[in-house]
Amino acid sequence: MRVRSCTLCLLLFFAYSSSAQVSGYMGKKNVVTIGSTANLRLLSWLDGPADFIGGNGNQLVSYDESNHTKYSTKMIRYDLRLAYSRVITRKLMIGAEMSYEHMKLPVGDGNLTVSSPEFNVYGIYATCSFFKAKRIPPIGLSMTVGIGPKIYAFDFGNNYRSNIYTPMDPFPKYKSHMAGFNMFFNLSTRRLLASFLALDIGMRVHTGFVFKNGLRLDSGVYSPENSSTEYTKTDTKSGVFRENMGNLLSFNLGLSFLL
Amino acid sequence: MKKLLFVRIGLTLLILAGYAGVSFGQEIDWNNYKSIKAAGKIPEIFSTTTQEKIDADLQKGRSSMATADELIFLEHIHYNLDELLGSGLVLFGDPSTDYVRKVANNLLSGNNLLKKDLQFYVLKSNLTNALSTDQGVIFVTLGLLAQIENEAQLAYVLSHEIAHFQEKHVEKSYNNSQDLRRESSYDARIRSLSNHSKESELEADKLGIKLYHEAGYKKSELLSAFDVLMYSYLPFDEVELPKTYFNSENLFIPEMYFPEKINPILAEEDYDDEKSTHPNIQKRKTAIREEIKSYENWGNKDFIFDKVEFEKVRKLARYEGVHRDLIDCNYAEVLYSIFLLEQQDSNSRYLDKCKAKAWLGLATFKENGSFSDAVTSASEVEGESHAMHFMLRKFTKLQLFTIAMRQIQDISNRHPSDPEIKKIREKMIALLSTNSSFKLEKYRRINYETALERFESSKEASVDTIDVEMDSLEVEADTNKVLSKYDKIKLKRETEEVFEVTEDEEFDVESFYLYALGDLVADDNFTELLKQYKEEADQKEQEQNDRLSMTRAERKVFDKKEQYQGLSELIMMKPLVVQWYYDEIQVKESALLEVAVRESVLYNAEKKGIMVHDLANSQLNALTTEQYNRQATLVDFLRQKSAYEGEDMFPVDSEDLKEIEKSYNKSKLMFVLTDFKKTVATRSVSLVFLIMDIESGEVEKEYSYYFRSSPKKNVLNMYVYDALNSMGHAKSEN
Repeated sequence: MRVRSCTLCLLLFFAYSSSAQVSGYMGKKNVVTIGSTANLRLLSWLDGPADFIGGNGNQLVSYDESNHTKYSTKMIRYDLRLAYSRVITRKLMIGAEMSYEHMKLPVGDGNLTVSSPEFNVYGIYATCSFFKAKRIPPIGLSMTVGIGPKIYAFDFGNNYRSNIYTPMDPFPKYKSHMAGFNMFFNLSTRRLLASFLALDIGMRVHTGFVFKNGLRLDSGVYSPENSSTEYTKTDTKSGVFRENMGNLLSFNLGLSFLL
Repeated sequence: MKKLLFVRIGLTLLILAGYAGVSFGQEIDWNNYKSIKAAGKIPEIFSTTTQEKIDADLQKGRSSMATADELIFLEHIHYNLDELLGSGLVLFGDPSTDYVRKVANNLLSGNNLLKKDLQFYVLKSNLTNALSTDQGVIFVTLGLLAQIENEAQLAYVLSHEIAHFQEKHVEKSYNNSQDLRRESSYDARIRSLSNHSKESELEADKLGIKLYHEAGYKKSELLSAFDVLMYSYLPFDEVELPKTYFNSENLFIPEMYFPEKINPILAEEDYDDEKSTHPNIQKRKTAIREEIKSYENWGNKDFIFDKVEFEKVRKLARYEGVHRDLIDCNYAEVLYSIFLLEQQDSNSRYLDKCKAKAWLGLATFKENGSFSDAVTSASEVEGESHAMHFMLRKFTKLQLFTIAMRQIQDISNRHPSDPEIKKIREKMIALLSTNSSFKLEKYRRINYETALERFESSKEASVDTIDVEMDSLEVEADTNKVLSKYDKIKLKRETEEVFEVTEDEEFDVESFYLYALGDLVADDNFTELLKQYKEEADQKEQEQNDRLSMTRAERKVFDKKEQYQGLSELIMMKPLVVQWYYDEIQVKESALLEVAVRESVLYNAEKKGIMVHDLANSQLNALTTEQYNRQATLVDFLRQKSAYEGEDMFPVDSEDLKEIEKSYNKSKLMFVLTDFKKTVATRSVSLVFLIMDIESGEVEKEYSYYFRSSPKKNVLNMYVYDALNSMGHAKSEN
């Protein structure tokens, strides 16, 4: 019943769009955008390797199925985004944006063998785009602000180890995912590629914080609950926080379907 | 596209013959002259696409050029020619073109091959000129036809242009300009280019004699043709403007408004031609005199065809010249030409109408503060027409307004049933009503002469009174003859009401205009109209003030509603499209972009359900002659509008425009201007849509866009759709 109501609402929403006074490009008011934002982890890299996980360094440690250690560097962080927006007036467009990122927290320098913790990060934002006067939305330059929650779901599918001999078993304590709150300011331009398709290019400033860590904060590596783990909840949370705060500027690229 | 007026060719030809108003078999009704129009079937050269012409020419091949150069050359000449052919300025099938063609065919009677290669058309321009193209299209301007004295002079001009074609001067000039790229100095390039051009001119002068001689024309007219060129900047005749020309029962213009001496004509044969494309007249005449010697058995004809026919065509060109000057807002030239034409046709309704339009135009330009655009400074004008410029420049605003009103009123009195004149009169009254210095109560009910007469007698009476006062004792003795204090006051007030006086108590000549509207002051219809227009103007001003006093939100809602027009039909004019690469106009690219703009409008109009009457076909392949003429009329309308810089105006061809508007269901006129600027690093486009009301000549709405990208199809569609969307939506829907 609820699904049917939602569908009906959605249909009414679209039905309204076809008969209403047209503000947008070629009378189209709905925009679906698929894209990605990416940033260079320049600050983290400049800051040098951290002592342990969640530091500012770029080193990632992982293990394959045969428990062989793999070192890699993480210079670029990127996510995938799907957005729906609707032109309201010549100057305003509102919408919702969903993002997905597979986030890996870097660990310290080259001697460490502890696996980098990995998260599947899901975000959902309410967005509001502003266009300059005399522009035809959604084409051209726009400023968008977005705000919304982010969920940091620990990726349990990996082979986490302390070293090649020792599987890590820290995770039961961290099974409760973290949640945060993010916001961004985006400046981008849409250029037409075809009558129904536009290219989005822009940059965004974003930040966020984690407001839930599943369990109460521990008191650090010496606390009893951390005695059998390489990670502490505090470290993990601060790693996520640093990832958010240390990479404020991203570039975004996407394709907008104009419907 | 719906073609409301698409009719079968035969029927169209029949209608057009009547529409053109003039043909050889008919006597022209100069009294009710109608502006010259093209007639008959549109010639093939108009309807063949530019690309087809280029392809056909490429197959012929040019030995003097490499293939790549040839393509550039062909694109250059064909796009330029087609631009001209599509401008609405070219006449075909009309008496002037037929006459030119007849004279040309006679010149070419011994050379059928050459005859086949050439085509002759008349250009609606007041410049005294003729030009030859590489494609064999030769144009003669109406200005030239208006200036020449006989058929022989026209024949020589045509022979000269034919020689340019025979000698392939256009192609040679292009090749030369390519060679010039190697020249380092800009001055050297100009010198070399002008030298080459001068050589071509002298060559054409000499070769032109052959055809002229063969046709049997007089030797002497060869040289006189150069006099036509030399004095072509003057009007078509030099007649002194009488100082009483504008005077009438109600109007007297004092002599002080005429120059004491007219500016002398300064044209010289031996001017400095170093950087000119043509040799000076003296050099040309000398070369001709030499060349003449090599010909014998000269004919003695000024005219091979009927002189009456020539005179008719020349008169047509002169009448049309008045029309062209009206469109270009050269009002002093209009009035002087009318004065010249009135020597023959003193009571022409057409000339009267043109005169009324010119006076209204002068008043409008004066009101707009751009009078110098309409009347050249008298110091720059030579010859007898200097007097006209001098006089118009000397009038104050109020004087000019009054004289314009007087002139228009007199014309209206002569043609009381003419609806166009009635409209001009109303427009003039409306203009007068908005002039803050115009106070009807200041105008006297008597004319200038009566005022002057009364002044003289009042002066005498005043002297008598003074005498009486001086001899008061005597006067007191005879009380019957003495004026009481109150009588004196009354007399004084009465005389003050009758005339203006200068500081030294003399009759103020400069106030002559205050006696020019005596009949109108007493005319209830006039005062009523004046009041009505004043109220309308006040109301309009009030609306503007109301808008200014709106809150920001209210104004936003108001403006938003105002941008919608609820149009369901539009007449689309040929878009004006210019593509620049830095400061160079790209002719071919401009033409291609024009096609893209037009197609985008048609495509999006269909999407929006707006019917577009397409007069924009740049290749003219879908137009009938009637549509071609309509386009030409509308182009003239836009030319005039552009001269007025968008300000309110009375359209010169208001009657034709009314017909056009009626034919297209009172559609509005849409004109698209596109300016695409391109550099290596940047692209920017300015796209403007003007929606105009044909009848009033007002720009009702303007939609303008500016964007920094190439005007690709999708981008164009986006802006065109947006503009059409605003045009199509009714205010009430929002």
